[in-house]
Amino acid sequence: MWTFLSLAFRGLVRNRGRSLLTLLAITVGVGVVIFGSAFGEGVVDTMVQQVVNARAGALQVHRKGYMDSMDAAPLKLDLPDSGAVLEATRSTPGVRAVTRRIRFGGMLNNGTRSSMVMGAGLDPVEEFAVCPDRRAEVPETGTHVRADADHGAVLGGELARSYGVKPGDTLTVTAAGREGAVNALDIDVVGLTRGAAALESKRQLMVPLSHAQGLLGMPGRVTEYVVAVDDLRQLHDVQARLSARLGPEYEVHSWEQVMPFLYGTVGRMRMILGGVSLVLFVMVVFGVINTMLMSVYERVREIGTMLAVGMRRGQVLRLFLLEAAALGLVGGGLGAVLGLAATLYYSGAGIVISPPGSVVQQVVRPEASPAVALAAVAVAMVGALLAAAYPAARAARMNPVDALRTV
Amino acid sequence: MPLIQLKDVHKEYLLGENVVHALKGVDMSVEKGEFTVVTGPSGSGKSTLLNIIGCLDRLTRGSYKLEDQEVGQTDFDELADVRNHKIGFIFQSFNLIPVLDVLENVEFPCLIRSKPEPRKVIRERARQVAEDVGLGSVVHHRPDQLSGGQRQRVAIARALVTHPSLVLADEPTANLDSVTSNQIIDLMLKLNADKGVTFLFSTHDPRVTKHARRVLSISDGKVSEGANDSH
Ligand SMILES: Nc1ncnc2c1ncn2[C@@H]1O[C@H](COP(=O)(O)OP(=O)(O)OP(=O)(O)O)[C@@H](O)[C@H]1O
Ligand SMILES: [Mg+2]
Repeated sequence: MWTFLSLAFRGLVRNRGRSLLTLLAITVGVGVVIFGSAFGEGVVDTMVQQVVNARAGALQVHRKGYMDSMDAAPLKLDLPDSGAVLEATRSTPGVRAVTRRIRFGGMLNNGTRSSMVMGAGLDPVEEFAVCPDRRAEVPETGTHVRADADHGAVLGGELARSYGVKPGDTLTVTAAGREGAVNALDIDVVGLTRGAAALESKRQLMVPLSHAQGLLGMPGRVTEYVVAVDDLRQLHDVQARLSARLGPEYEVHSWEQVMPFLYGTVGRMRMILGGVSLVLFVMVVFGVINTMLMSVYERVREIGTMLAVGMRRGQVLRLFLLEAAALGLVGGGLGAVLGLAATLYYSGAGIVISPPGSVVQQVVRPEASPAVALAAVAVAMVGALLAAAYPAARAARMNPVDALRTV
Repeated sequence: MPLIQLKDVHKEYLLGENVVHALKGVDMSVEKGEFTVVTGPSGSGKSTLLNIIGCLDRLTRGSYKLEDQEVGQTDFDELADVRNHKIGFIFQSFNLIPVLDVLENVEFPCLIRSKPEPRKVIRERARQVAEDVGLGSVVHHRPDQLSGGQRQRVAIARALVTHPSLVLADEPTANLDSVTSNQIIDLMLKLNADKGVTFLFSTHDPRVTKHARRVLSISDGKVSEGANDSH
């Protein structure tokens, strides 16, 4: 065995340039796959955090039928803003915090113009316990909804611009209440959103929960509980537990169900990463096939000599497979080290990206995954072996007389 | 019992549509300890004959016995073992393994055995054989650092290290100048005389045949005893 290892090693060292090039291809391939998937997971994570911590929460509880309702925000399917159901939600294991909201549709007026808005009444304290990143929606020039401003409203940036209002100005909001009666209330603008998402920016209106309850004639009622969980990895367990606890009158949705488009984006992203990995794999395999074929052709006479002095076909096969395996192992190992090193460095330093259509910059932290690294090295090894199978078999099948006649 | 015995051996090559009849019924035998030269012009079938005797190639028809064992139709890996244990090869173009040094090249046939002897035993024997063929001072050189004559000595050492029953040399001096050729032939004669190594050796150079104790001529695919003076 030692003889073969040493022979394989020298076979590789003989044509240093070519072996190094192949090694480099494997190293780069494995490194890029490891770093790429770590980066991808980081982006996914950032996106999920963005949704979970700034908008949708991890889980949402509604009355049965709310999500499937024809109305965008049906007020008739409502929940009490305190009592047994809320307590049951709060005390479910794995739940970190719960906040209450009312979603409603309304019109915003300033006396001369009026436009449709998507309103939300938010609990000015609990909302930020569930969605802590929400505060960053509103830049320093204003504040978010707060407990000491009963009428204080936050407007979408675009919406505010179209009305020419800034913090300190007053507008009127009109809405049809739960029982159908139309009501109007004044709001004081306290902040504008950055306008990260265009649609939201043109339609969004946020007011304190109590103000929305007054406007809609719904004292003591809300339309959704938004739930934060201790650990996102246990999301679906918590969802099942909560759903079982609340019974068939209520529905519990996860953020993926609340925002299916975003969840689709995550899936597409993982698919692209998989595609890139596959392309790299194919490139590496063809690189190794090429190297090994050239190596076999260059050594035809030598193979003939080895056969002539009594080497068996299986031994010739093993020799070339060993060379390829060594390339795969060393290249893959180096790639894994470099890929993980890059991942660790950037997970500390963070990578700042500005997603298209977003004004806010996001910091992506690639997530190192030893499992992915191991898999990448294993795949590189297997790929190198597969790639070497044909050249090695050619070498082993050679007729010694013909091989020795070759010049 | 002769060491090797060929009876009515035929060898046909397929060259596209054509059949090349390289050996047309060879009868010959070699005794243990002989030093035999096969001579004949280019294309007469010397290499073909030596390849069959060396178990590198299979005969098309006839019978070939090596140490009373019929080997003409054995399977590939068994033939490989026969080559490894019973036969030593010396080629016209040396055919050393370029990445191995002199000692490693000499050891090679012993190392690839399925049950090799201990590393130290092999190394010691290789060193001894290298000494015997006059390579004592260059054992750690690579083939590309050696002269042609030295390379052929490495090949001879590699052929001898397994103590084979028969050493085959296909035009071993064709790539060497005449002085070196004579040294190589003297070395083989000496090994034959001192150690009883059996040599079968081909050449198309009639000058070389004067050294041999026994000369076979090959022409038109047939072997006959004695030097053929038509060359
Ligand atoms: N693999 C092969 N395929 C087809 N024909 C072959 C093959 N090997 C040898 N021959 C033919 O068989 C005949 C004998 O060839 P061989 O090589 O044995 O001659 P040789 O005496 O060794 O010649 P040389 O002195 O040139 O080495 C030649 O006609 C040659 O062309
Ligand atoms: Mg020849």
